[in-house]
Amino acid sequence: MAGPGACGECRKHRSTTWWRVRFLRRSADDADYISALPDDLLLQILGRLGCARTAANMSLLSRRWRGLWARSPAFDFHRITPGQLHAALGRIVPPAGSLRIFIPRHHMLSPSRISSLLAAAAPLAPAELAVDIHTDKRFRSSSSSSSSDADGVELPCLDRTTSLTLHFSPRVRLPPAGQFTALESLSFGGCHIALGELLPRCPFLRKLCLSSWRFDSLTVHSPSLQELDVSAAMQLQGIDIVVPMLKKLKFRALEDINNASSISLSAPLVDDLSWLCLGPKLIGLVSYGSCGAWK
Amino acid sequence: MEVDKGKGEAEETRKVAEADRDTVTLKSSDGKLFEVSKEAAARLSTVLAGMIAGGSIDDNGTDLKQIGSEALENVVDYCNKHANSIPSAALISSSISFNTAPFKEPEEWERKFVDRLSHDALFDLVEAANFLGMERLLDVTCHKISEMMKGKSPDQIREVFNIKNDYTKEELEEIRQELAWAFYDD
Repeated sequence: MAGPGACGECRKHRSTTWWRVRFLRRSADDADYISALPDDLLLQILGRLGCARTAANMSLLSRRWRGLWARSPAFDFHRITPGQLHAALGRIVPPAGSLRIFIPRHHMLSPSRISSLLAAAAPLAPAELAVDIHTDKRFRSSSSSSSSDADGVELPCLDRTTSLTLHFSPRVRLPPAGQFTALESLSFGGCHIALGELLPRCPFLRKLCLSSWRFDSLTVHSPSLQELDVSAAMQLQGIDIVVPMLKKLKFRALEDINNASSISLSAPLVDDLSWLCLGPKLIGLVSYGSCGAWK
Repeated sequence: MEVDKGKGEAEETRKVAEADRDTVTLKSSDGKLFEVSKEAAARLSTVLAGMIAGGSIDDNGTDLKQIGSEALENVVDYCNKHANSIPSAALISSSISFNTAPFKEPEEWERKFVDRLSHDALFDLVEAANFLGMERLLDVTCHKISEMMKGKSPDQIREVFNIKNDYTKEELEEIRQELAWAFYDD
């Protein structure tokens, strides 16, 4: 059988373990110990395969294994086509633990395709959702772009999700109602989202990561936030951060913050701060392990 | 430790003496005794932590009837090694990093610890870890078993684990159709 179910990542792995197969110790008495394990342990093992396709293909082993993968605590989809992904999501038994989706660069998706993938993932009520998708250039959001809301990706209300990571470039539209009541950790890469509208709907958010922030202003107001990590790829004209509980702040800007910028920052409890601005001229590097109260 | 005032004085003395010891004695299903650091046992096993806190640890060896001596020896060995190892920065760091795998990777010494186990010892240890509520040891052993499955065809996996294929040809064909999405095609 030519490595069924193996995606590219798994194939790479196989090339290194192929020759070990025949030297692995087998049990002396020919007993099938693994199939005798209770379901919850087999599910833990399937989740650790790091590849949902590989886990699904364990259904081929014997009747004991059929369909177990759909209850795995972790689903990692990498190098999968959008069509295959939809078929797979339709079989997962909710609530899902960790759901991580990485679609390769050669499958550029439109905002509406991304919306429909998120809509298919939402009913699975994942505790962790991570999505990394590439988008055609014409849909990429930027502060100067004229892209309307209709070109945005619709974010469903994920009220059971504790950790959300979104890496794609179109503008994100928030659901009309509902709170992200379980959300503790939020990470955005490249996508533009109205933080001013989203953060009040995340009452328990503790960690926020904004990587390659490509917009000219940044507003973060959160009474619960404890860690903030920002890397700004554009010149910021305005920074407005009010985070009374923040303990750790990491800020990197690839462009100068010019003198005309308006900067307002209130983070009285920060004790771990790193502030780095790069640009045509290095204007500042501040790094304190512990700086006590800081405003 | 809270002492139950309703019990006799002898009982109290015994409990106090036991609370002062820094090891606990565990007894396997076949009657062998093992000493383990109380601190490590309480930290690594939710079941042992509950027994220690509840005072149900027996000085003459707490019976663990579900665990054979070979598996219990490995459990104790793991606890003692863990007590002596310096946790890596990744494990003691309080910060949640973004975009990490949902499971913790084993430490180098933990890999070596499970690598030296025979096939059946590994499976006995998974079940012992599960029974004792040892999340970290369960992580390490399940990780090892998944590593043994990765990158292999179903035939190879059946061979490694002695799994008997009890499907009919028709059933296998049906499953292949159900799993059409899972085949690599790009």
